[in-house]
Amino acid sequence: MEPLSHTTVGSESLEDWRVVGSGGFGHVYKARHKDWGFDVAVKLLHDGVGCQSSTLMPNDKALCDEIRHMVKASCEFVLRVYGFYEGNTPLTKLSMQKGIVMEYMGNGSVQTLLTGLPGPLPWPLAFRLAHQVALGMNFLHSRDIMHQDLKPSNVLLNDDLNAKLADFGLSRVPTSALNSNRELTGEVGGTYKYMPPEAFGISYEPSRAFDRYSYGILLWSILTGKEPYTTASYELVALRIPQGDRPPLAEIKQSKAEGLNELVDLMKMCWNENPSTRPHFLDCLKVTEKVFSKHKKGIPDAVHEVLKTLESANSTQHPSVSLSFPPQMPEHATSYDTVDHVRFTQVSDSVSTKTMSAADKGECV
Amino acid sequence: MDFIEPILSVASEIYALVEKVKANRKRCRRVSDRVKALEELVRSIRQRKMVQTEVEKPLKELSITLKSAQQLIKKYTLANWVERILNSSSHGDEFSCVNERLNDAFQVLSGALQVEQGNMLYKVFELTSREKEDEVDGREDDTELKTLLLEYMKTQQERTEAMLREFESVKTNVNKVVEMLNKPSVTDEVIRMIKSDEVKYEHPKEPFMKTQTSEVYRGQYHGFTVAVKRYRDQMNASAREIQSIFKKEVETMRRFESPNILRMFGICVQDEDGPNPQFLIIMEYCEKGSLRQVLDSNRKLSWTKKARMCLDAAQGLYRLHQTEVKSKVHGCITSSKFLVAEGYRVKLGGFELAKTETSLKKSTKYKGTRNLCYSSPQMLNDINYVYSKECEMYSFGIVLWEVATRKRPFEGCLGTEIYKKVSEEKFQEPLPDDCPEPLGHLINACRAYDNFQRPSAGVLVDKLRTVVTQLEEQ
Repeated sequence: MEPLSHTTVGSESLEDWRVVGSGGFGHVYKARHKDWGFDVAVKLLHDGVGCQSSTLMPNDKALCDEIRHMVKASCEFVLRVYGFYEGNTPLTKLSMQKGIVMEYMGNGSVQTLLTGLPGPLPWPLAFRLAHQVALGMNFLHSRDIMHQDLKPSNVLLNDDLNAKLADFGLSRVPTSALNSNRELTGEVGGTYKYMPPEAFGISYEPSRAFDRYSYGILLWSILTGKEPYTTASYELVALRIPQGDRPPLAEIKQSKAEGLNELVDLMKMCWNENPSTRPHFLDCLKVTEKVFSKHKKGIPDAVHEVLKTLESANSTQHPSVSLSFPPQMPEHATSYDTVDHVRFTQVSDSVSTKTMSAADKGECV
Repeated sequence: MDFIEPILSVASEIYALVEKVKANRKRCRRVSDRVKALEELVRSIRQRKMVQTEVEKPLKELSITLKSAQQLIKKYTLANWVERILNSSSHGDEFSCVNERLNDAFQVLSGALQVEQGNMLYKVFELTSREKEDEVDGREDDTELKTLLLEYMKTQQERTEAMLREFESVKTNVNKVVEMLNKPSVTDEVIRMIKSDEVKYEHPKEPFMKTQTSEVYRGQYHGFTVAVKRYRDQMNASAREIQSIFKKEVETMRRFESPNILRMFGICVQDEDGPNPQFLIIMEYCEKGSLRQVLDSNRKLSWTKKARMCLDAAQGLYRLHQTEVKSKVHGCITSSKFLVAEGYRVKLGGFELAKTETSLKKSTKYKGTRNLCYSSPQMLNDINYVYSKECEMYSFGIVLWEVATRKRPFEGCLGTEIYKKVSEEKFQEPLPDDCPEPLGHLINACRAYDNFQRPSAGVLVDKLRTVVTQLEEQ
């Protein structure tokens, strides 16, 4: 193991704490490291989970395992880990908490783009995201790590909107306090929409084909700028996906971009019903690399355009809160009640804005 | 034009009835004024020989609305009107719904006729003046009603000794209604930030409900019994962010004020500047719990009461589907989303201040199984089917079936079994044999397999009101 994982950061070296996301495990904070001079992300366990002596051991082990995974997978397309956190936080005033110190990603996740932009992504950026995710996933699989939770909110974005993968391999730690059993993660945070049909079965053994399917659905989200099946509950997805339903293709087929057809074909292969026919990521990235290379020149403009749009959306805080109906849409229960493990977006407001407008559109027809 | 003659004849019956009403005179007169304005529109439609298809649907709906308005007014012309008011705990609300339906019809028909905005007819339906008129009418009618009721009590009192026992119950009922009429209306309260000393808790301070993330207490606020929801964990956002989300959301909530929609009073911040601020949501308290809990209980529910509960619930849904500004879908209609207050008044809840609430919550695990039994056949058939009002009407039909049978829908069925029954076999769970036919007919229409066979919330409200009036007569 690399020495980095043994670095321990204490509360005395961090300042300017701010909650940036939360999930079933606890909270993610942004804080500034006084000695290093830059912001880091700190993931802490739930109050009361991490500080009871009886549960201390498994949690320590879970944290160690997560850090070990991240170190093992470290590459340009995977979230960087700095080390352990140990100490109290000024926000909760709890005496002792343990956590992980990670790279802070300033632009949220692909989920932020889906909810924060009025339409689909500019093609160059969409194709680069598709390629970078394929690169990251290929590296993970080459290191014998399965992601098991590949979805927009787990693809984080740095200042230049380059993608890095987060929150992977946790389901291989079944006793983890950071992430409970598969059944639960299946329902939390919209993950179920990225789950392959075979995973809804009772005796399912996770395999790499799981990630390949998730990648297919993720591609659809990246290309359309939408969340799949916006109004579908877990039960509905569990019913329909094994019966062969998939996201609609009509809209993509009307769009025109060089290489788009190849990506659509790849997407369909990835979400194929038969796990064994889904392509390996090494094959995926050959396709995505080729498509992306044709659009590379458009990247600076595309990144600039998207960052400008996101910025203006942030300055008019909570853009369309007034359209808060219908809050109990099934996807609300999952997409913003259960915020994903690492989310650097601003609370959860923008998420619901998007789902809202989708629902509005639906019922005005 | 086949629809116009019946409309005109019902309209003239309404005018005649209004002359005979014994209570709620102002309200009835106002309804009749509005019907007159509509009649003018209808007549000019006939004169211009407009293309039938264009106005066919609004005319059909108008005829349903008028019939149910007629029933409503008739109620107050009958000799037994006092008893009927005493037996039904709802009072006055029914007028607001009728008025809204008339307004719907006016908007559509005047649009089709391209009536100019400045037209005299418009004045009758102008929103601001309409609300003011209705409020004044209501107040005057209520005052008169109080006098009438007390008089009624006096005459009853003068009757024979033998009736004394019956009289006692009349007296308590009269007192109850008078009390109700005296009570400030819930909607007089503005949704706002509430100071913590404005909320009084009951002692001992024990939550009557606990969820994974919150505890709910009973309390008092400005003379209303309220439910106070308190979040156990710290919140997701800063106090300032929560307040700004709250303020914007309140704007939306105002548009959906209705006696049949769970009322929010506001939120309250405790220890705002402290290290650990606490947020409370203060909302209307419904003593009987959720509709599902009432149906599961041993309380006796007559068909009249059941039909009234259906009507209440439908009025709540109608308020969402058909507001003046913009209509909305609820998205998750189940029998647990409706709450039951005093006098079996049913209120739609489960969507209020959702954003504020989300920013208060730390996190939630997926809440139980969201059963597929409320999903329409169209949704069960296609994961990409876009949720619509028609889907919601199907879910609502299931809730009505629950009210009729008190059973749980598709009990013990797996998702795949529900799919097979509903989507493939077009199966509807049966209603009890003693279910009044018109009520059963409506419930089945809501649960119809095809989208277009299900009624709109407006039409459903009209027809349910007629059903309730008929059941009350028996």
